[in-house]
Amino acid sequence: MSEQRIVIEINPDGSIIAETDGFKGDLCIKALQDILGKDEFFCSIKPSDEFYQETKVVEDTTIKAGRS
Amino acid sequence: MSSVVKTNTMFVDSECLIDAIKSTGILVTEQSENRIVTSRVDYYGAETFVFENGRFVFMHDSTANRMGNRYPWNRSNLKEWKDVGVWLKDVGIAYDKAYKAKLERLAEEERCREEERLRKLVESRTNEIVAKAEEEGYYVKKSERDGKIKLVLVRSVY
Repeated sequence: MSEQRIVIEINPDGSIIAETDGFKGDLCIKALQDILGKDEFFCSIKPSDEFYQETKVVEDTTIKAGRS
Repeated sequence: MSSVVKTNTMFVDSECLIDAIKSTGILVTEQSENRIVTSRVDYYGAETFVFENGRFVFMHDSTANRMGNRYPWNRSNLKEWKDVGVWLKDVGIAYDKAYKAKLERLAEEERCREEERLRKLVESRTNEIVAKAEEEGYYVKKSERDGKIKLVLVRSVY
């Protein structure tokens, strides 16, 4: 059993910053899209090294999303 | 005779112009979209601002300017007669002040509207995210600090 964790910060201007932990590869993107919606405009994605290492158990990805 | 008096102020806003006229002690006796009639009276009757080409122009008898205090048509309704140039200068100063205050008020109203729009946006986004996260099986912990909302979503996978 492992833990998946997403921390989402919603700024007063409506922009969103999200960090994921415990997702393999690009599953973090899918998880965020499941939560934030597929149409959400990701204006900045900062993958960590683990993002590219699918065999690793822990990934850490920061996604910055904004909405007009 | 008609006359043109040039002022530094372009009177474009009727609300501010009416406030400015009143602040000089002159009454507005009639007003419509294109006309503001004042209690100043000259040979041709009540002196009037008429909206032309995007601004209000003051229509008056130019003789009043040349004769100053000896002008006979103003005695009936005003304690103090100011010739058109002097009076329009006073109106211009009051108008600038009223117009500036109006712009500040409009900007403040716009700022409040934008603040309210963002507050509702953040509230609805937060509710959407929480609902979706719970649907996806996450435990959600919500906190708020400095106007920023923080959501921690946690779930166990096997």
